[in-house]
Amino acid sequence: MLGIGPRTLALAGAGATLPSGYEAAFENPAELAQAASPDLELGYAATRFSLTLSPQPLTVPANGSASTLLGFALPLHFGSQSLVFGFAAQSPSNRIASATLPYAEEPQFPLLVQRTEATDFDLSVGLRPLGFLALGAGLRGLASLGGTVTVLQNPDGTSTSSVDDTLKPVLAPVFGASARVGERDTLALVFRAALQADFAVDVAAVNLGATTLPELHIAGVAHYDPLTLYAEYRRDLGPISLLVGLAYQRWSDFPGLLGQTVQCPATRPGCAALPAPKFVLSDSWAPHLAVVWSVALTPKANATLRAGYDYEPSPAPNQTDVSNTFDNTRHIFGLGYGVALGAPLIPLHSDLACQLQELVSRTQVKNSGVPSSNPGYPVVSTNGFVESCALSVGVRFR
Amino acid sequence: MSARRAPSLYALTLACLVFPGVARATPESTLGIGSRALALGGATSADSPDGSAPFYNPSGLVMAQRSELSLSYAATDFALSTNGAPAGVPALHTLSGSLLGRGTVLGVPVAFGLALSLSNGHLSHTSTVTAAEPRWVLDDGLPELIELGTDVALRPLPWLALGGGVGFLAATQGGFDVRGTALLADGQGSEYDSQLQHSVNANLVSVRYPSLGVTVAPLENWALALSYRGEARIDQRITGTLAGSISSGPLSLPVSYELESESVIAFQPRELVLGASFQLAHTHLNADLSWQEWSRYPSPVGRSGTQLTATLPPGLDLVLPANTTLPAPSDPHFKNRVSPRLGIEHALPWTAHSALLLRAGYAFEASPLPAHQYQTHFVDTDRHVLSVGCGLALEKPSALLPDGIRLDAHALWARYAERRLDSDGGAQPSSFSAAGHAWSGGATLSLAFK
Repeated sequence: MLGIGPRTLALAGAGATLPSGYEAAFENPAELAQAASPDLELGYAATRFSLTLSPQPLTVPANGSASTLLGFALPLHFGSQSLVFGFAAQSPSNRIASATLPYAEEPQFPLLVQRTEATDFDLSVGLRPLGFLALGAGLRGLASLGGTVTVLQNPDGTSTSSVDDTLKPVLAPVFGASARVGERDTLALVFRAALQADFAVDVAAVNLGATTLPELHIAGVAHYDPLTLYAEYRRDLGPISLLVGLAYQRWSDFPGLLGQTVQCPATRPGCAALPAPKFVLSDSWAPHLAVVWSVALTPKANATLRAGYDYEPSPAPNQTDVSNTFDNTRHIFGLGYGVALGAPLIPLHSDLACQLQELVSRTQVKNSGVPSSNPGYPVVSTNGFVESCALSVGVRFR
Repeated sequence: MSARRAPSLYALTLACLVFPGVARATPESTLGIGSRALALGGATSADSPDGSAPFYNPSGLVMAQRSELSLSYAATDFALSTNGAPAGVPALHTLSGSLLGRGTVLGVPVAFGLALSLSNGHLSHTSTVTAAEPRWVLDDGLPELIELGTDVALRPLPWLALGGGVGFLAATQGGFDVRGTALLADGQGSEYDSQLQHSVNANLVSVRYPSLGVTVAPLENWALALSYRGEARIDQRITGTLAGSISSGPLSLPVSYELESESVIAFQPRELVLGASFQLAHTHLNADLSWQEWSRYPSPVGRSGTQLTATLPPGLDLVLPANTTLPAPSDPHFKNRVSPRLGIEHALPWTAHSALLLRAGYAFEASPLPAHQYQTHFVDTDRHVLSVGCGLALEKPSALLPDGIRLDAHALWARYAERRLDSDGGAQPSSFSAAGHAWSGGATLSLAFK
């Protein structure tokens, strides 16, 4: 959501037409084909949230996250053709994914906070079959959890709990293409399939003596990235490159945050159990603008300045009922600086970037049936900021 | 028809910690990954110049001559018995892959590697262990886990290679709440009309452990290695609370229910390996001595306690489940072990650009399980592992193919020595015998690039 490294972070998600090193494994695998030698990179990223509700004096709890970045690009030669493998991982300190899904009336920003708390794990390959055309493909990976919890009373009076769970891989393909359509013009098209990490744990019947509870189905979506189609055009003007992009995100496929707690059995399909809470989203279009300026500091050192802007419309509807599952349209601004050293110096390169996301204030009026104890009653405005920074250091092998 | 009673449930909270780990002791998991290494009995800490190095000795990455991409498959089938009856230990299928990148920085050889191993198609599969029945605790019901290792190595001097990295394991941790109104069963499914909702606060977390290695090659045909892998332990914890009431006509019965469960579902002992490799013409002779700190192995038996509190009005005859407390963890008193491993590889030049590789290996792994146990009925025995393998190495087979292609295969047979074990207490037999064997086979395809 914020870019997988300092270069895409600075460009506010743009950069599909640029050789962005290991970040191309996510941004556009076709651009991996530009890597001529192995490159290994390590980094660190941090994100802080400041999400508020007004006039209620509430701040939505969001801890923010700190992530380690790891990536490499590795060209492997098949005759005269090079296949370049790229690996990118952005991993929160000790987490792969997080499912913080409180009850619907509790104020929350699940599309904003939760998506920054998941590991982004991408393995891609890029090649250049024709001089002007590069193609790439890859996989994004996460995990889904399924299992059962059973509590049994033993004949001797003791109790035993049995837990059986399985983490299954969830993979989403990424495809990219870059074409040099003129001496100064490049086009790129990137497709990312939806990445959805579910969890479903069935808690078997709990015996309370007087009764036995029905099986509890604890299920929901821990992480969701929508199907995305992104097109970008780059124009080179000497040392300056201008980038214009447009992203389509199919949020309408979002299945909802939480599942139904009690599921109707086959023998009673029309049972009156509470349905799963609804959270219906709509598709969105997000324009991107970015500029990259390369400067030769010395004959052996180059610097790159990057800046980007992204307008991200919210796919979520107004929260007019008891639900306070908020989301806001965002203006995203990125700024970054990078330095690369060449031979005979140590072939290091380092990039630093910061990004500011401003949540456009959104006012939501509750319906008349909403109880006054609801945190959003009678009207609530949401706004805030998300601040992110990333730093990476890489070394290029010979 | 029974009277309709509507208990109100307010908070059922279940917190769950599920850490996949590496507490495996199958022949394959202790001897490593990749057909070449398995065929050499796992004796490759001083001779692993390929993508398997993250498992054996990270410094081996930089001993590779080229970058490499490899993919392996292996299957293990068990024929283990307890008291003469089959133990029913399920088979294990492992798919693993590695990527090795090599180059130089300021003239110093540098390499990095990424290795991934996936068992039975899962990132992880874990289940709790009970104490009541005899169980091959290190082979049966293994946590099937993803293992992901990333390592870096450099060779600052021609005779010295250093490497290190981190292994990753996936795990889940968290809890969930349930609230609402549950309806009592009326025999016709009325409980499914319960008006219940849940919320979740769970994390899929990563567990990390370090790996370090050094290889010293004082002479052209000698290499010595020392490698270390850290301990990893995966705990599981479940807590739950329920507070509500059951109403039946004019009666209202407050109910409080608490659940607590803990267990260790996976454990990887700290390991130190000293290895040597000697090359004589086309033959490699390898020997490893590994030390594993199994004495820190915690009991994998799940422990749980429940407490149900209800204030019964006079005249209402209900039998409530008995309350139990969470017992203290027990120490299974496992022992540290030292395991020797031997391997030999001979290359038969076939053509100018190809060679046939023949391999054999042996390893002895003493059981860390004590002969006498208290209440538990764990099963494990000493193990002799014999392995053979072959490989076909092709150099520059075609302009359109990688610079080198190697296809390796291995077969492995492990004999579990017959053993009699005793257990004091518990409901099951206090003395039982164990024996058996396991078969494993697999193949690795490696592609090398300049």
